Amino acid sequence: MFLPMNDKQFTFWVMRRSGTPNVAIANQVGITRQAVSQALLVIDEKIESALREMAQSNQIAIEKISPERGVVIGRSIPFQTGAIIFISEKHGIQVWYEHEGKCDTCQRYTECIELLWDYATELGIKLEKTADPTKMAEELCTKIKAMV
Amino acid sequence: MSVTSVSEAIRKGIGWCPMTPATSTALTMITNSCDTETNREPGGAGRSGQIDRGIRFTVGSFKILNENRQLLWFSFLTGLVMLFVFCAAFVLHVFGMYPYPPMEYPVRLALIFSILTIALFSLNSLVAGLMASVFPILSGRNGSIRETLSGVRRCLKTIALLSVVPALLGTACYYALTQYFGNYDIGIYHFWNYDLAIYQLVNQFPFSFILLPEYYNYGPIGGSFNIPSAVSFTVFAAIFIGVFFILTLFVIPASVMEHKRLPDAARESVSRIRKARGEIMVSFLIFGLAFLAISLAALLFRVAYGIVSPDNLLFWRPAAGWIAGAVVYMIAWFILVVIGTTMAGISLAGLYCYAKTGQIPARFLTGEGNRQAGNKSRTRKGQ
Repeated sequence: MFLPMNDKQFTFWVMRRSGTPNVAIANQVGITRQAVSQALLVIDEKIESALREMAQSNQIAIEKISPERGVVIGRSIPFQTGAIIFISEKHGIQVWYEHEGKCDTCQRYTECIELLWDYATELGIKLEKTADPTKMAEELCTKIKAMV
Repeated sequence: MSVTSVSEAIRKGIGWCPMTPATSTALTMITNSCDTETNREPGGAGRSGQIDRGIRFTVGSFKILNENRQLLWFSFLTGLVMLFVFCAAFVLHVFGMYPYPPMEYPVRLALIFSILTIALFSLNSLVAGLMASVFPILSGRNGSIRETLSGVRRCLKTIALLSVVPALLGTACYYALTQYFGNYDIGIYHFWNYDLAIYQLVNQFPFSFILLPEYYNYGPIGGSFNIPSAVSFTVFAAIFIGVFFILTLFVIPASVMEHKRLPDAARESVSRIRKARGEIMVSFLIFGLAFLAISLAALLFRVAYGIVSPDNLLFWRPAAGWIAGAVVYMIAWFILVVIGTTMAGISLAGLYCYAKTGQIPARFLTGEGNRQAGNKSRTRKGQ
């Protein structure tokens, strides 16, 4: 399912995820609080649907799903390992697997670092480890799991 | 190393990555370690083939241990766990009898449960660590300590369950034997008298003279007194261990290598055992017979000192030479047994691989098997 990331509803969803109350969103955008609530209900359904489809296409058995956070925690059936699906405002839907990546020889080292920093900033999470993306991701995922 | 730093070291063992794990984790290790490209199944079909393969697993485990001496650390750690159990059981026994005040029964039960849990958790963790170390070796590379810790960490829940549940069962058995069967008479024998049943078995241990010099040995070896108790308990214990063995043999390998949870791992364990039951029986029978032979060597002491007859025991006290010889024997027995357990663990990894793929890992093939595999490999290169 296509996730309407340029849609206004998605902007509301991102604001709510970063901790902004519905009233504040309504005041910022200049609409009623009821309209914001209605929009968030619709986008939550879309997000959940998108996450479930992503899990299905990647053969991930869902253990926990949080449309409000945009996170699925599950287990990859073909790889028999933990998996996480999350939505980043800047990078879209991402699927990560629980295993130690070989970051020192990986060509996507910089992209991973950027993605993790951006996503942590979106969630308001402070990361301590900076050298190794696979470890940064571990710290991030641990904190996300605690939130979901 | 503190508990925190150990847990931190284990925690550091794994991470997350957007790349699919197929190229770097368990699946690859399984596939590589059971790689059939340069590997052919030795032995034929039927019983003779199963015996041949079972022997290969046992002999191969010695070869692998000899070539990878770092695995002896597992023997050392197993020895420490055994020492702990030995000391804990001995202290529990000594402090529960005169001249010390009698131990409250619930306290004794709690202590037995604690000792069992700690021992089983430690041993299961060592098995998991050994599996995580051996599978990379079977795939042709040396695993790191980090990889080993990561393997253990992956199945900590399974290990915990596999420790607590049997410990509970063991404690329950002790409770049942002491509370309900203590004075249950069948015919002229105290068939389930735990005092006679359990201790008859323990007293056959060759070290009982040193540990409890005041406690004379009676039973199948020391005499003909209360043989039915010892035999009945041995049969009962053998059935219990046999069922548990069948249910859990491949649970830890499946948890380490395929990240399976306990119920799935137990189901897989049973189905895999069916596929390689002949090889498993042969391999573990060889280890069991070797253990028996080493333990029975203790009888030589009695023969050498002429104390074969039970009557001799009443007037016999061990002299300094006997004690020195027994201590040397005990140390040798201990070292051989802990090395044997590591070899059995290596064999288990190979058997799991065989049960999963139907092919013996190349590292277990010796002599003709390797030459054939080598010839096949060279032929491919020539092509």
